[in-house]
Amino acid sequence: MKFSEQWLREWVNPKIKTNELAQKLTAAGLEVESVEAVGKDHVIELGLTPNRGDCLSIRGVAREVAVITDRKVLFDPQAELHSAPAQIGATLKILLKAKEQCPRYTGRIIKNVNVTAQTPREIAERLEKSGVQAVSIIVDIANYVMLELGQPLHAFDLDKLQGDITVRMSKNEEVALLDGTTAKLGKNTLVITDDKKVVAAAGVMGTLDSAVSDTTKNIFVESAFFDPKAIAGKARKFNINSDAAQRFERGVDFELPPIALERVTDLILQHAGGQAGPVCENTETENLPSRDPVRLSLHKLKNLLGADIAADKVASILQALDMQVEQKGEDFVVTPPAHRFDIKIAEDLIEEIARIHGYDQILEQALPVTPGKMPSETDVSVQTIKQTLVDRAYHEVITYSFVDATWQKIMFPDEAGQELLNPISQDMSIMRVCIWPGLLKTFSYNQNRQQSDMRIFEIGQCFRLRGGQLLQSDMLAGLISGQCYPLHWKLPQRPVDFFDAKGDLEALLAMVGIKEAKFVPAEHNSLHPGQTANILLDDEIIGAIGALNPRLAKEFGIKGPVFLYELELASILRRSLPTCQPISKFPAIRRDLALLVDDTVSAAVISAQIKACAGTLLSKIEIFDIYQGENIAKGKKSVALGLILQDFSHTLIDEEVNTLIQKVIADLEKHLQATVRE
Amino acid sequence: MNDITNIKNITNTALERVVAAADLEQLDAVRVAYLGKKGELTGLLKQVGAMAPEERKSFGQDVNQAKQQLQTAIEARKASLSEADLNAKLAADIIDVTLPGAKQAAGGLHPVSRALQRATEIFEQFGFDVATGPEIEDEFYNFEALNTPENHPARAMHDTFYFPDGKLLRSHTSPVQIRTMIDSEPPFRIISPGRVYRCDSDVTHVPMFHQVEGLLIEKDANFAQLKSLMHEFVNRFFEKSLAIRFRPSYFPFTEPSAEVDVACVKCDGKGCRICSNTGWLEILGCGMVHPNVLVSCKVDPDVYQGFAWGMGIERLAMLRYEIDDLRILYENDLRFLQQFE
Repeated sequence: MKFSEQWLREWVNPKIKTNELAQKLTAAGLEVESVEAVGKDHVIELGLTPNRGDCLSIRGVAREVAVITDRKVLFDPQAELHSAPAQIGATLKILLKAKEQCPRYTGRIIKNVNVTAQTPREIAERLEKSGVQAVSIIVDIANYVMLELGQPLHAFDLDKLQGDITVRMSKNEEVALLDGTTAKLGKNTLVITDDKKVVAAAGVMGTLDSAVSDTTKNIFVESAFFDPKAIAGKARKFNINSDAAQRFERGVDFELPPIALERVTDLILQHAGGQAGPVCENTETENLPSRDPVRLSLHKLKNLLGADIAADKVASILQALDMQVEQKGEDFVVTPPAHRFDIKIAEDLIEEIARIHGYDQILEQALPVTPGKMPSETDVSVQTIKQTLVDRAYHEVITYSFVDATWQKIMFPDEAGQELLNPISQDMSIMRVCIWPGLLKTFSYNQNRQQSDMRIFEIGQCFRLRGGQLLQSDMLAGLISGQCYPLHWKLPQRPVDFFDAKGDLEALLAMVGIKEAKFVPAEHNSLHPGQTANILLDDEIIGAIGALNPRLAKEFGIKGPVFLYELELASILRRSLPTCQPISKFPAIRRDLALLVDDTVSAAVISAQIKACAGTLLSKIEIFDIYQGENIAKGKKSVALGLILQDFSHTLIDEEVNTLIQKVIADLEKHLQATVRE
Repeated sequence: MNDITNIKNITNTALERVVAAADLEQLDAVRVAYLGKKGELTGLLKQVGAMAPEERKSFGQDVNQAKQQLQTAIEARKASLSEADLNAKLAADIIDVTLPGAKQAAGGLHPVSRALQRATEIFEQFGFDVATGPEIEDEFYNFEALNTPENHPARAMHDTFYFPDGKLLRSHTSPVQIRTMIDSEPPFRIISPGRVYRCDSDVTHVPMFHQVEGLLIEKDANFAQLKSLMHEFVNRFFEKSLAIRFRPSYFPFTEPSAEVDVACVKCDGKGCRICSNTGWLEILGCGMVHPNVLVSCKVDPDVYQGFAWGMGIERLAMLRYEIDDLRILYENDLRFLQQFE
């Protein structure tokens, strides 16, 4: 709501400067968003909350200013506007078929108006200051009265109306509105019709072919009350801006239509001439909004605000706000005025009292301390997980949860993503099923800015369909690429590889004490066929890791090898409580083995075979070399392992160690066709 | 030459050689030459057998004494040579301590996540527990249970993202509070940090941002406590004592409602570019929970009352770390992120 300060001061004129007035309005909940000097006047713009439709007029703002500055409103339209005597007898009958949605409809015919008359300068200027464009005399006057009193008005070209006025619900009509949009009305739009056709979407906008034009001679002016629920959401549905709908959906004073009709008639006769007919009115009193008394206990007021406000102060605030106040013992029984649609319960009254009394008058009270939940020692906080990665040179990134549908479909062709109905753009149109597309976009963005050495991670929800059910689970995903270490005089320069990424993942798993996770070779549409693994815990896939498929890298314009991984966050949010184990008093013995095996035999298989065979004496296996090349036959590889053996009851002697090693070798030869390299 | 003179001569020569030994190797050669199995002094003892019995004792004693004397001298020389050796080594082993250490590069948290964590910790100190929930939500949890029925004008304040099946992306984290209230019993002190979505994208809006919303439902919760808690939060978050002001506002789910401004953290309320010369920065919305919300969540409004608030973390992070462009937060430019290591 934007308006001229001078216009407001014609209605209420406190002896305070513009700035102070603005501060008082803001403090009372009518936030002044801007004050702009225009000549000697100021344009004040209020950011009104949706509950204060009653302030969408000069009169409404004046009422508030009067309360907060302890003044009186200087002009009472109800008392001062009198029905102009009818100069002609022409009338329209008004039939209310939708009484609940429209319990009051008034209007009148004015004949022989001069629609080409100039809009008076003062009116045009005030409209302009309110951000309303002057159009033509009749429309301008209707808008002026709306801004002044808060009642939306509409003028029809009488000669384009066929017969009388009916207010009813729509029957799937489609109409061309004033602003040129075509609106499909469906069945639940309140409409104004003549005997033949819809002439307005009630409270929203009139139709193009019933509108006043520059050849109009005779008009019918409408001033009605429409129920907020009947108008709510309609303008948005038709995708139009409507000052009328903005007011009606918030609630317009239902006593106002006849008063505003007098005001608009006065101004039209004065500035465009013509002769007015008698007022046509149809009111279903029973269907007008009720103003039910609200009971307010002072105890509740004190209890909710944590502040004492004296009973007489409470009463005077409410009365100043045009409420009827009756004291009943400790309680007040309060009836709100017709222009307030937001006073239904005691809390509504408490807010009114508090804001007029002043929020700043309510003193702070320290909140009593109650202890929060103590996390279990076995809980791992997301913060700890993040810090582990940060300590391993990762930067946390936050990417949008909606991603480029094209990228996602290329990377995850089998996942049905959740597509947004109203995305911002194509590259933010589908909910991510994995964080990788976001990480890759981030990588690509940075690579294009000469930043190619990256370790980044993100934690956030992903959205996948599983068995027809939408699964929203928190995932952790990482991306590494470029050099392993920053350029250094001593550290070797080398690019990161799969095992750097795997090492980071293992560090996370180790942090929560997971020792039994398995990395199992796997296939993934977006990853390198030979460098991909699923991460299994108790035979359930909890994550995946791999090199970005170079074909995809090329398609996305990404250079260099990129390694990606992801993990179900839930799988690392708990760790077990350590239980202390005895330490052997006897020394450990190490024996190294160099095995020659087929290069398809994985390290995991070799380790498992040795563990199964060696039994409890084996405390650890360390793989310290993998070799292929000279002296090794094609299709074979050399695996060098250190076996650490230890017993709890005695120092191991050579003989038993040798026997055990021979047994292990024989077992490996038998099951894995391994040979020992001398 | 008698035996004693002989022992003395040998010993003196040996002692001279000990002193003359230039390093541990030479010194060891001296030891071997005199005290070794075939050493000169050791050799003297072999003569004992040929001696008259009355001479044996004193001769033996003399030799052993000489051996002892030499041994002590060797030890002393050894200690001094070792010391000199070490000193020489220390003098030679000099490194350039100004060279950079061998290390992995630094990492860092995203500033929004950093601010979110800080806000969370502050409320945890006041006994609030963190609650989380889904980001794809129903109309019920996002609007209806929050006293915002369909076509309510307040819905226009949230430009909501929808899916074809009628579900939506939560436009605030309040649905988490609704879920908590429905699923458990009052009293409640919870906060719900997380991502929220609104269909808006320009210089001052991003379509995804973060909120920390809070909810307190107790028998005696009141507006004065809400004021205190919000003020405490602001002071603790910015680590200075700042003025705040509560302005009456409107949210369908609270009554009374307020918007909270904090005295500009940059200019302390004097007026600057950051606060558009108003001296105030709007940072959060709050109010007493509307009884309709409590009823939707099966909490008896005649027994319990409470307050709730919501704040955007991006704004707090921007003020705290002097970030002047909202959109840079989600470009994830490394050169930006590296400033938060």
